[in-house]
Amino acid sequence: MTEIKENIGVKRENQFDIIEVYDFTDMNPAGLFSNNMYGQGLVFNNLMTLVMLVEDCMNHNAYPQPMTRHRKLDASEDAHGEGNSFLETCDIKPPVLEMPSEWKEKKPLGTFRLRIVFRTMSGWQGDVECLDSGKTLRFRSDMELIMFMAEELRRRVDEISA
Amino acid sequence: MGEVFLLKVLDYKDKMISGKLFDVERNKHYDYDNLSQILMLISGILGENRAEDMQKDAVYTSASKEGYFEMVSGEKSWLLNKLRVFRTFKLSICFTNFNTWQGELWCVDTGSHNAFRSVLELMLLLNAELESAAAGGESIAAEVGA
Repeated sequence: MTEIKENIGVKRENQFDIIEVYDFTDMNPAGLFSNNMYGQGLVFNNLMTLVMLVEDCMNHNAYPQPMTRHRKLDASEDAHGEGNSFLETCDIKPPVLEMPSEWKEKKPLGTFRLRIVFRTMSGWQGDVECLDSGKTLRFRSDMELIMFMAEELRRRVDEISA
Repeated sequence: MGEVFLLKVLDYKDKMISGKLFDVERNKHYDYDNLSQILMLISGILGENRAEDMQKDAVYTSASKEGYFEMVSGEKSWLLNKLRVFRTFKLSICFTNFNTWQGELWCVDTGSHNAFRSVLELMLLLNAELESAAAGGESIAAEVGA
């Protein structure tokens, strides 16, 4: 993890990410990701790109620092033994996407304020707030965060369609 | 040991993963169009069967003998594009501690393997493998075109 810079302290307001979801068709979240230090209005078109943006943002800001190294799939003999293969760097390159024009006139389906405070056990721990419903969750893993967001978005879609 | 799934990936354009998920133990398969659907499908299956105590390895072995792998694995470049399997993974979820998943992921096509300690790690492993497969596919296409 040599490319992650030393953490020199991150102001509280820069620790928050804003996730605006504009589309949740077939449970696929698409929208905009913003962080004061990393960038504003970065487009994600699915869960994978959102996860990559969040991970890259934390690496860029050096906050919070990762506690574990990234693993990789390995076909060598050692990989089938006790040892695990790791990536030399944690280079994550989220794709740069253009914002669909229809989102400019649209209100987001759901807006989440996310703050990840730890990156232990190869996952994320922190808190998230759905700004529309006011619900908050202190999540212990990335899966808990994903499930919370999916549940809130599904409820919002049901409300709109009703 | 653990819940065993086969993840057949048919497409990974713009990181939109789509294909078929095979539940080896119950001999069921599901179509998926994105990563969220995979997570929700597996999460639902794990939720239903947490109380069960079965010898999954035995079931997995018998399933593989029945030709599951022949059906789902391999890059069959001579087939039409829409039938081609991009990558096939064997996914074994052994634990669901800390509200996430721990287990092992094998790429059936390349024989590569590693363990994962969270859903995040599983997603990044899948992405890295599918990205490299996409890059390989592009270079082959360029050679064929040339």
